[in-house]
Amino acid sequence: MAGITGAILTATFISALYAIIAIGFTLIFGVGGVLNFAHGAFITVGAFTAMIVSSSSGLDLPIAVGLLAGTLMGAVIGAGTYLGVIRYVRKRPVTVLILTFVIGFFIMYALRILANDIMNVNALQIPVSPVINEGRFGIGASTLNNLFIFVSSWVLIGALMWFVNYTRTGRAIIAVSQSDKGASLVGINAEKINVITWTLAGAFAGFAGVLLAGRLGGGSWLMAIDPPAPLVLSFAIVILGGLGSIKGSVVGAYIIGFFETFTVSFVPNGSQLAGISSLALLLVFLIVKPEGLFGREAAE
Amino acid sequence: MATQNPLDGDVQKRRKQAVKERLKFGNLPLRHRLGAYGFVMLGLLPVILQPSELLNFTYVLFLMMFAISWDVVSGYTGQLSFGHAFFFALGGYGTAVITTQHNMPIFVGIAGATLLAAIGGVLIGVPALRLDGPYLSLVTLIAPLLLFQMFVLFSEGLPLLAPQGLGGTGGLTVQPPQLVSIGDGAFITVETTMMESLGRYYAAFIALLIVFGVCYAVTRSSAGSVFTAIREDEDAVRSAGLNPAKFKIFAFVLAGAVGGFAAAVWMHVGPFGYPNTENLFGPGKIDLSIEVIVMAILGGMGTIVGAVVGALLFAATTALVGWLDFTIPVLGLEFSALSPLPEFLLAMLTLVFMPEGVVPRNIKDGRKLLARYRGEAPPEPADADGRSASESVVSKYRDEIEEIIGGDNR
Repeated sequence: MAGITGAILTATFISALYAIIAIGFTLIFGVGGVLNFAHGAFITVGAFTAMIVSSSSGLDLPIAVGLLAGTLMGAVIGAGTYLGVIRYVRKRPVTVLILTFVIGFFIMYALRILANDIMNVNALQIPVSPVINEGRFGIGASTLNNLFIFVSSWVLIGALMWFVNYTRTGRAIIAVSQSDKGASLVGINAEKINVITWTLAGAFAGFAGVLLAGRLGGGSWLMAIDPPAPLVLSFAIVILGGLGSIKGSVVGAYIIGFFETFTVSFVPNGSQLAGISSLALLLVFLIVKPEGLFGREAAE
Repeated sequence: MATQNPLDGDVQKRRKQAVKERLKFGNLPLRHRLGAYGFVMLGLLPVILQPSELLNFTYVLFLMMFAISWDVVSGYTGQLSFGHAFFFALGGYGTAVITTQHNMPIFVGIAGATLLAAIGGVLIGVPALRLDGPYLSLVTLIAPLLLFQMFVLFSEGLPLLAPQGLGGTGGLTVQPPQLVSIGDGAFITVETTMMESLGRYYAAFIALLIVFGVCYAVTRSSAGSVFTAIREDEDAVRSAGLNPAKFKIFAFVLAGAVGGFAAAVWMHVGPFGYPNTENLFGPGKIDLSIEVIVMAILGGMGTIVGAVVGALLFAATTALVGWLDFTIPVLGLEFSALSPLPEFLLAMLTLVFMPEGVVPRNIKDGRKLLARYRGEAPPEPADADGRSASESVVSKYRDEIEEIIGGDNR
């Protein structure tokens, strides 16, 4: 990557991906006040589903189908986690914290066993191809794929914004995130809203997982905490942007994306700092301004 | 005795008498006696185990120490730590670097590593003063990941501190000198494998006694009461004229020192004492941190004893899963290949159905049984309006989260 233009382009593309990665996490925290440590596992589920559907050792369908399947599977896992476990312990935040932590690792190990022992694929390197893998109109394949990520990211964020601001269900989500009691007073069923939120968040995570694995040239069962560590990234982004604010998450994603890319490009020996820079930025933020940039405002 | 005023007669003698009374084994409450029996059993375990089994069980002793280290800070003060491996890694790497790259004796290595991990405790403890529940958990989650990156960054060498580097993702490959071993270069050289495993086991056992003793003493002292008070209500602690910040940092430093000490001893006791990211962080970088939490939760948070029992339960489940080698019909793979899924499942079930943990639950049931046996009325729980450790941690967190997301003010 030479020059400032290249760096800005790279940063823009990667930030768009980071935004999708973080948004599901924000949704769940905003509505239920649950810090979902299983978010990374949902992302991993998306990548593995894409591998099963579209790789040669799986069903060998086109990757677009894999992207759809990964998104759906993410939604199923998200809803399943909520309905199967979280629903019963929603009133006990610490238990929920530790549970999501354990559930996340449970899912990751299950995927590892699935890949290694049942499908005979190396779980550390599962093949997921980029959504667009051939160049057109004189643009290279990877640039086109980045463009696809960028466009789909903004389309999805736009759709989500529209959903929470202009539909009854979406507004109910905001209501629950602002006040449980108030929402129930006006007749909103918080249980239903929670299921919808977890499903949405899971879908976003699954989608992000397929894109991320495609961009990295493959996924792994540890992709949640291997660089770029989507689980930690989500945390970082959400803290930077302010907990529970969708707008904040998008802004936070771009801050982190740009900070990371510029560190790698313009600091001597920057490539070694790839994993650390965003974490360091997050720590500084935590100490200095823990409420984030857009602390606690509902999505707009 | 009771009619005398406290300063009558030979005060010294009466004090001695009172201490003797307290120390009479028969007068101890049943649960304390059971605990003492348990430790004696642990000490006599080598009588019935093969050397290879003994080596596996030695690791369980270290797991107990790790779980105790988590319980001291998170179980007592309610500051949840999700990255306790940070301290273990500091301890393990610290002693390895001191002994192999600076050629210091073993005990200097262990002391230095304990100190290093204690400093790590300060590093985590200081943010704990500014940050509330979930934010702090985040910092603790990131700390080991940052440390991991440091190992990669300085894999070639860290000037002055670690001239030969920190080994990157693979870890250090030079084995630290062993306390007890057949090979040369050990602190105590022995002849047979049996003696070697015995020596290793008892070295670990002594370390466990030290760790347990220190943590038990601290948590049962007035400092322990303050820890619990911090968990319950920080403002109340402040209003009593105590500084919660001091005690929080102390809790983190103690936990760090204990965890670092345990990991350092582990490096010198073996059986595979190479400090690498695999065994100090876990293959998934944060597995060990999770396992420690799972163990403490299984046994019961905020009890210290619970951490020991929880580690035993966890290890027993792991052993059981490994031993069940029937084939699962649909998937066509052996049940033992499913590890660690069953252990995690057990932890989830405990969290949902018995959040207070095994030890407090059994003590409660045991009290009822004893009362029935003696023909007394069932005891009113001592803390009839009090709350169990996990309950109060939970409510503390709920308040903090609601403060952050601006929930309803109750």
